[in-house]
Amino acid sequence: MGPMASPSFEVGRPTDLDHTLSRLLEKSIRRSTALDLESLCIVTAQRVWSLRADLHFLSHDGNLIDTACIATITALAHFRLPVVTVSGEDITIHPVTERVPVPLSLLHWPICVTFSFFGEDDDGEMVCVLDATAQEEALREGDMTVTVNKNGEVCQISKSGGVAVEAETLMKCARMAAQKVKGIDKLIAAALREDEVARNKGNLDWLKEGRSENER
Amino acid sequence: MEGLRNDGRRWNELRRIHCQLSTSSTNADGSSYIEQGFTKVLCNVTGPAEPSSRQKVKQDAATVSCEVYFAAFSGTDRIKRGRNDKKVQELQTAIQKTFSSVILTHLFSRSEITISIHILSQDGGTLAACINATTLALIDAGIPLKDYVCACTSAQSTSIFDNEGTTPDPWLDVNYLEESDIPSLTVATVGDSEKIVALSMENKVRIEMLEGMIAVGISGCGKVRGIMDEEVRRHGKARLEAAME
Amino acid sequence: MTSSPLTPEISLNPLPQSDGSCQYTCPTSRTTILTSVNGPLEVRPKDELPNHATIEVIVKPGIGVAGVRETRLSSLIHSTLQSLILTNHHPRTLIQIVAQIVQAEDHTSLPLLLTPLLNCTILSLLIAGIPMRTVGWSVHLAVLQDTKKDIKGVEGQVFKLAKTGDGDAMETEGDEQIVVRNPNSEILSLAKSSHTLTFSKEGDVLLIESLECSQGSGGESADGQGWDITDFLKLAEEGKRICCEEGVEIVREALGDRKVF
Repeated sequence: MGPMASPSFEVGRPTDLDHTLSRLLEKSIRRSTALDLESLCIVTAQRVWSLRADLHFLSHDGNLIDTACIATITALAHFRLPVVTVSGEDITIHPVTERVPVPLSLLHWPICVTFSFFGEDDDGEMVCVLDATAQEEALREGDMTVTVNKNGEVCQISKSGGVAVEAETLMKCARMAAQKVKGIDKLIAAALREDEVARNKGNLDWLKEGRSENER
Repeated sequence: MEGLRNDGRRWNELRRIHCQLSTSSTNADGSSYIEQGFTKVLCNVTGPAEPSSRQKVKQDAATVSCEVYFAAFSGTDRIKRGRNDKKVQELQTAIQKTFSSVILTHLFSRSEITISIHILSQDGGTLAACINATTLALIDAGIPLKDYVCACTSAQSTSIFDNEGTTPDPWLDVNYLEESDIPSLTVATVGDSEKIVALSMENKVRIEMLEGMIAVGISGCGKVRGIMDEEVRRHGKARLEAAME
Repeated sequence: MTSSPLTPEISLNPLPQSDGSCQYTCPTSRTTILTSVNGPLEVRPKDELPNHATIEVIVKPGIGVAGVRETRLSSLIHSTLQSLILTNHHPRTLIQIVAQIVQAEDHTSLPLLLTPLLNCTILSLLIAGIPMRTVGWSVHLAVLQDTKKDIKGVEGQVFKLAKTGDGDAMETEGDEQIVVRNPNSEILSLAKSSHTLTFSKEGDVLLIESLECSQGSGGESADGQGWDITDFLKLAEEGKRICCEEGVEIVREALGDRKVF
């Protein structure tokens, strides 16, 4: 997170937001076992794949947590791992051109939804806002992040401090999050499918070229 | 038919809570010690005092800062957790954010209230015990709070007792074994309002189960509050009597 | 191949939050850089200069955390910009430049990254309205080792320069050297030497960053290594032409009606 996103972020000095973000993402994705870690094993107890996700924040206009989570999940779902064959002691990693790489085994897509609370209105109802902008975030009195997948499983909830909220409101938020996640899930799936189509078209062209060359 | 948990409690039973105020009266403005089962936490509060660094000065409110220390011998494995450990930092921010909203910080502008917590023994519900200990220490230090902040854990048992498809009762106040086994959450409420100030869950659970877990957690918070209130009153009375003599 | 393979893809102000930003994609290597410029800002007391603005350049790598390479890149950009920006117009302020490497063929290759970084930074400075003495443009030229190798995918980027050396006995056939501008990593690996040349609009040299990369294939005697100074001067002359004519034209076109110079 650097000054590119917002001049308020300084270089080399992790802010509180930094910590919360990395903890939340870790809790949401790693601890909910979204990624089947065993599938990253090449030789048991000897060789494993190591995956690294770098997040770059380019522009900050609120709701970094949700955006980061969606980006990470999409990237993980988009990622293809080269095929590996093990025969005895030898491990061969097949290049992408040789064998079609396989996707990671993502068991489910946990998606963060952050609510911002703005205190109670005249009727004693809590004012909740989804997907707050940077300005709204600066003014909010409390926030809560719920991580849900499309099957309605809550993977993580975190609300620390801020304005005190009735349990009923929180439950309402959680249910709404589950609703929203279904929509986000569809969006991600659509984006992935689009990319898949674009890629396959390219692949086919490439194959054709190869064939014509062979004929010559 | 009702089953007992592995430590012989029923589903809605708390572990034994023992709490004490003014445990180290010399080096802190307020201090407390709490035992919830085998989870033992010591908390010292200093302040309101001059902020330790210029960054922490806020013109219209007091800054709340929090330091958490895990004793190396507190868990089952001997692990040394440094200042930059993720778990330590998470606890610190959770406690700091929770209490910033409950302490009447606007009364002490340009000053700092430091909460330092020593975790001596962990047996599940560490965050809850830390929050409870901090509330007591803040009361001992005489820092104005909106109300008690009480925290409690609850867990969704996946026990074999659910006959006829009914979901089993959530368990109250989990110990270490239960915490590592089944999904659990920590909930903190303000006073007896049943309003949630902090909520944290790290495991996967069906959304339908959540409501029950939160409800049980809140009821636990009420019970914890009763116990803490009793101790605060007893301590206050003893203090007054000592002063009268 | 696109219709005009020479022009980089430039999108201006992709980031609404910053004072000026630019995304630049090199036509051949597909290296994509995103830069943002903020300024003049408040400066940290320890960096404050009484008569000048402080320029801060941060290069963020696409993969991993910033290391020595990024520090080197940012110091090169910093020193180039130091002479371009009229720092005395905003004393006691900070001009903050952040460059993010979005996509690169080879995240470790310094010469491949430097030209896009410089060009992108200069464009975003123009958009941010930072006062500059003049405009600069950078071009990356690779001199190929083997004149016979045919080069795919970069047609239109190749030109030939006559060798000036009076033809040693060792000189192989063809007294021309093939130069590829803005090469991709594949071509760079074949190259004898790589030169990043930056010129101002007026044709003054701002930065020369040259690298010998024939990797000792000249044998034990240092033959064929390094480059001839007269050849290099010719190359520089050509680079100057590219920067001052085509480069400035690209900037003009990119800025459109926002013409600032």
